[in-house]
Amino acid sequence: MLEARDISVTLGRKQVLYGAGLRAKPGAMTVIVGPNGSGKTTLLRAITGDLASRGTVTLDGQDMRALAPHSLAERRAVLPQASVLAFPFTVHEVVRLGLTGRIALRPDAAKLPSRALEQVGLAGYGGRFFQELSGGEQARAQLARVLLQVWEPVQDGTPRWLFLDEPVAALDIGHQLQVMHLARRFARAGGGVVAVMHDLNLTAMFADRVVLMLDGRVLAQGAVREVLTDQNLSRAYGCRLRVSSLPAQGATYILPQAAEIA
Amino acid sequence: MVALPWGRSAGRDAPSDRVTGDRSGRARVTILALVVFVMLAAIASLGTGAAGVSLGDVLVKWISGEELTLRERVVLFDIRLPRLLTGMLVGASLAVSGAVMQGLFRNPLADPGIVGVGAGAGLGAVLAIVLGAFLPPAILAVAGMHLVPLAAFFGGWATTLILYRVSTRAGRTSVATMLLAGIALGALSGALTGILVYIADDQQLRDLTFWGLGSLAGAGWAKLAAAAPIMMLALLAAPMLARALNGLALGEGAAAHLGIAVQRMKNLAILTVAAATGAAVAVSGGIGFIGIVVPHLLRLVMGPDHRFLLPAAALLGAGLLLLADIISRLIIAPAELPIGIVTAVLGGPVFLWILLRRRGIVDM
Amino acid sequence: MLRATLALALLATPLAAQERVVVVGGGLAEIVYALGQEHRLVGRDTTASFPPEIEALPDVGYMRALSPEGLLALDPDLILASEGAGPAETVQIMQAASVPFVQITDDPSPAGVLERVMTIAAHLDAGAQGQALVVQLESEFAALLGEAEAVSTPKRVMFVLSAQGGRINAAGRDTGASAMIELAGGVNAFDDFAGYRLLSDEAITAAAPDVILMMDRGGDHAISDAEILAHPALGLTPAAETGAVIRMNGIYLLGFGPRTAQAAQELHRALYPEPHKGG
Repeated sequence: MLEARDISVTLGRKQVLYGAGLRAKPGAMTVIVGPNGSGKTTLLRAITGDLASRGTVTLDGQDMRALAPHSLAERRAVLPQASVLAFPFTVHEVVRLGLTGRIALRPDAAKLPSRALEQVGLAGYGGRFFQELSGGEQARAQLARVLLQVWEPVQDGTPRWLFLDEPVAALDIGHQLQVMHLARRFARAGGGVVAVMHDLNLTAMFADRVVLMLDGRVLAQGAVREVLTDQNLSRAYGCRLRVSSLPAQGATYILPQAAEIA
Repeated sequence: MVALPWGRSAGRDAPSDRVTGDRSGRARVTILALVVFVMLAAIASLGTGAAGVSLGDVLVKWISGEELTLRERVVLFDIRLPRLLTGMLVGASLAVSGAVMQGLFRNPLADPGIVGVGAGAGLGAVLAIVLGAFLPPAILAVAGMHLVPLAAFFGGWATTLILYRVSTRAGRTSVATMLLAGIALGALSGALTGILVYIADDQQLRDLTFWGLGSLAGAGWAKLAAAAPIMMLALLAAPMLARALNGLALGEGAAAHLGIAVQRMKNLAILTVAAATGAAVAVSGGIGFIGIVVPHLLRLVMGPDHRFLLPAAALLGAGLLLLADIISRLIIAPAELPIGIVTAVLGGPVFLWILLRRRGIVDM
Repeated sequence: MLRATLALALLATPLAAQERVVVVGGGLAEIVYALGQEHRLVGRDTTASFPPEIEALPDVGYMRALSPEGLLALDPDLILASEGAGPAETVQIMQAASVPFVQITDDPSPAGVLERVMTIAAHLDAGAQGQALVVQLESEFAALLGEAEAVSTPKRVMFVLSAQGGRINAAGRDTGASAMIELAGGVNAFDDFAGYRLLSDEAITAAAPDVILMMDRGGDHAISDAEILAHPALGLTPAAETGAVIRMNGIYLLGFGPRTAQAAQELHRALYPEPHKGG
């Protein structure tokens, strides 16, 4: 169980989070959504320790900020938004950086980087230079590295966590679905996933739990149907949105075509 | 398939590293080749010199139990051997400092010279040369001929400390601030050096010029004993930084998420560079281009993985400096060309060539 | 004079003659030649360029950056070096290799010249030649002193070491150039600083030298009469107005070797061209 309470963040002179909090369970996919500037990435970065913040973050009751970097790395991996690589590493070499901690001791460790690449649809890309990949390919190569770091969703009975900051932002729809399935599979296998997303439909499709943010505060959190309501979304996004569901599977969807700008 | 700069794979059955992207095998072969290269360079260095003492003759005498002449002993053990060891340590220190600094600043063009460590060490040396005579005789007696090297070391050390204080806020070192502060400190050291040059007399000016060009001519056991422990400590600490520097290539945040204690590693990296550069500049003066050309060449051959890059840089730096030293003592024998001139003449064009060939990758 | 006599007594006990000698210092090399001992030389440093024959000998480099192996390569049994030759590490290695490394005073004065002659003569087993040279030099210096003392109004002389980019580097007190100016019966126009300094235009104008003295070498450091007249500060000096510019060979003027009395005499005549009787 991951629990962030009363998180406040001030960047420069501007306070951007006001006592936000979230709860996420292993085995489930928790998605943070909200309009631009609502503080969703800031909340994720406060939880992962990228930003200094007030409040508490606990992982299975332990203070996450008090854990040593190497033991924290054993329990969670973080996919940043976009990153610039400093030297001409090959894709294999970048992915291999995720081979850290106890996974590196597995007998098949040498084969894991290419298996991680297969999972993100980049089989055979190992020999390319990372810097020569397209933006979407770079994002998936980074995801392969992050997956490798927490290769086993549950290790010795302890669930491991994936923190994904807009994992599908640079991807085409096919790869968006591929990556979302991958994240869901990780959660189904017992790991925890916390992702920041822009796309409400993908969120509706894949999230088990949604945290909706507005102006540095959590507006609502809970199951998809409870949070993604006409009222909540219209308030958060400042335009009238209608949530619909397909009768067949009962899945929620939001049609931009049906929106009315206030 | 994108054309890759490296050549054929090692084996026919195993998939080539061009396909897998795993260059660790290539890196291991490179390191082995470099070990052989350094050994050959060391033998050449021991066996070559103006005095014409040949290693073969000495070996034959040694095996047959014949006494070496005094001259052979002095040339081999008091001149060439300390010089060989100094050259290897200085070359390795400069190359490893360059590689660590480039990894720390995530910039393939970074060099200890850039953050002012070199300029600070230079200022220390100039202070000692110009103002040394005004020191109390007691200090002069203790420091003796080590005054200039010691001052250079403390100059580099002090610069690094100031730099570090300026660019560290709340326990976090900002690399961008450090780069800018380094440029400012470098300019300040340069200006202070300029003032000292202005008040220096004619003979001191010539000393300054020679010191700035770099030389291993003064390498003896005494200097080596003072500087070697510092350089060796730095060289031993460097491999501990390899994983952290690899992680830093992804960015500081990503490195931290990989389980790297980023701030502690940055501290260690800065300390390593200050110690290695300060001690190297102290024994040999200003020797350029090793710190920037060696890591570059190696990244072309075996990729930027610091687990292999750091040891390979130490080896290639050591071997290249030995070769440059052999050239410097043979080319105008019995006089000697300052080795800094040799490394600059060889390193400058090589560096330009690398920049032209690899423009796409360097301009990130 | 007393000092010279004492040292001459030293010559009575000659040291073993050395046959492979490296000389480090231009003035010292000239003394070796003046003593007729040049056949013993096997090497010299960059500053040793007179007499011209010496340039045929191997050059061991700049006197403060001597290479130990380079020296040993010449297989010397004696190194005669000016004070300040080094580095210290090289000197130590010469001692380890049992090669005597003799450091000789570089005092720019007649007494210094005599002391150098005597020391070198002693080490080269050339006592008789040394004695003869000392006697000759003493009389030359005595004659010079007489002429210099006869000067009633000494001229203010400025020694220009270099004029690179129009920036004038001139000699202050405690320099060889200053000592030569005084030997020749002039006064140094700059005695408020020691050593060589880059001067501001105002300082040059204020010093108002009657004569400008410089070395007759080429290259960047040289400065022609036309450039002196055109220079904002030098052009305003009395020296420029009267065209009193003297050029002399550098090692002749500043070597403080056996030709020093002669050089000072020549400078004296150039400073005071109107005929006057000495004494």
